[in-house]
Amino acid sequence: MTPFIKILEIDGFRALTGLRINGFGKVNLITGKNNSGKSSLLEAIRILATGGALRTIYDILNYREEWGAAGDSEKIYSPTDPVPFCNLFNGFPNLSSSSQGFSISATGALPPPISRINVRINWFVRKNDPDRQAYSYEPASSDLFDDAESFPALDLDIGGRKRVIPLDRFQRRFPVRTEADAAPVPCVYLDPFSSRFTSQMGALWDAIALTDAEHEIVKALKVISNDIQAVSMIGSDERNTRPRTAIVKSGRHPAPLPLRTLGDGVNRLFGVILSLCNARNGVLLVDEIENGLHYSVQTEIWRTIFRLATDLNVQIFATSHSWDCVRAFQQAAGDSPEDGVLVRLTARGDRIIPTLFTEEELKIATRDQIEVR
Amino acid sequence: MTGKRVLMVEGPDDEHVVKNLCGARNLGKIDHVHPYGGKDPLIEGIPARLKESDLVALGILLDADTDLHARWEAVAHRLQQAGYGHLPAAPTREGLVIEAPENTLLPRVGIWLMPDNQVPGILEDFLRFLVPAGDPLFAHVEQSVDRIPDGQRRFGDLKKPKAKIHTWLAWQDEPGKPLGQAIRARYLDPDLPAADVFADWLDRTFFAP
Repeated sequence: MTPFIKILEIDGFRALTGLRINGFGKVNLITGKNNSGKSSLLEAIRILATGGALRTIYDILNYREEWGAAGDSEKIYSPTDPVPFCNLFNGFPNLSSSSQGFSISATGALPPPISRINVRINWFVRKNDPDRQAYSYEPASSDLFDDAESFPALDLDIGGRKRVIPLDRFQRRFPVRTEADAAPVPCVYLDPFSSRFTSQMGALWDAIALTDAEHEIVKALKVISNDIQAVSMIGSDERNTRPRTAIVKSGRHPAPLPLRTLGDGVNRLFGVILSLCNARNGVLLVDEIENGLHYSVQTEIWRTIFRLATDLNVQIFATSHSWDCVRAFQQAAGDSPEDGVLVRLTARGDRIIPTLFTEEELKIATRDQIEVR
Repeated sequence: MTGKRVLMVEGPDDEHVVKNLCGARNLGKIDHVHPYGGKDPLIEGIPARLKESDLVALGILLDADTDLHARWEAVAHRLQQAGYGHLPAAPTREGLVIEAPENTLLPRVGIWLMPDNQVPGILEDFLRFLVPAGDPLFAHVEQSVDRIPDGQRRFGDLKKPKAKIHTWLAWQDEPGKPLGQAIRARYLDPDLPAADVFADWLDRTFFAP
């Protein structure tokens, strides 16, 4: 079965330029040294698979703290300041030249409307149409000083559909959740530190509560802690109430325990499997998947991931730079009928160059003790 | 060149011969000499090995055995598939070294088919060249091996040179040294001109800038 993304092409997105990766499988592990673009690759896939949803772009910039925190005097931007967005583009382009931008496209089973996206920052003016009581955005003239009314905006082409989004819309508090929800393919992203809090898992839990997925999660958690019998989430997102908290029923304790108390590994695994179940018929992205997971359980965890990827039809992209994680992935890939592909990213000069190991090559690399990271 | 240098060999004999030759001729140190336990796993392992991280130079050392051309084809085919462009139809006498294609992470690659890239044979055919010229003991060994009566010889023709070298090593003042140690002990002379071409190939593959 063709995966959602078989071939991925990225140009001008952060440090990724002229990048073409041909041959993704169902389960993909992305390795590489620091600053080789692993996280950027996940971000690019995320932007593409969510159809360029504003929510995604906002989350990405927010996660990288490119909006700046309060008290950070270096990073207070005016509402129309395009600086935070520049970081999405290769080479921090001079914004007065509108020729640069980034593009991401995929070949595979992703529906055509979200299989390619082009993004630029351009200057626009607002044109009112009094007859229809509507307005439209039109490109500003090339000489910025001629057009006092012009403002910078993201200029998007998503599978042929044009969108213009003034940058000041991003500066407001961002409640536009509906856009991500309407995505034709589910796309779930798990950041490197999901094990720190369980509260952010609330929405994911609600989506699978009392389904078979609950059973899968318990089964997976038993890999690390065999005493776990059931898991649930309590609390609410309302203020002044107990925050959403994952709890477990353990064979050793009469009362439920907060999952938090069982350690990083169990919490990370909870996040990974819960996210996987939410990505059914879609795409799962996990940054630094091995965080908190002891090497001795990683092979078994990868086996579970391979199995669920098949059962739930999820294409998985995970990053890691841990040797234990790579080895566990190699073992599990060899045991699974599903395609496991390892992609190493290497920075060479100002380019990022991908190297793919197919499952067959991974087997040989393991046999011959070849360093694949 | 900073990065890793790896030599692929068939077995531990090749490994120890190369290591001792590098030492005796002060060539330098190859980071990893990997014995594959046979030619098939070695040839099959070429594509994955080419993708090893930080690899800058890769040597491929194989016995030509009975069919030099077939062996060459098998290696050349895999290198072409990996992106090395066109390779000559036959190995060159001095051992082929291909520079890394530009804008790739591929390493420089050197290929050597024992004994000399020109004739069928095995590692021990090459080592025969390192036996001092006119060595009377070796003449005696040759006669002895050649005169084994029909029906009593247990090895095939291809392995005859192997039988001779090991017999000869069995008759030194320290009998039975393995091949690598025989170089270190100078029974086999690594400074003979016959070793020059091979040493030069190692140098061009691994140590040239």
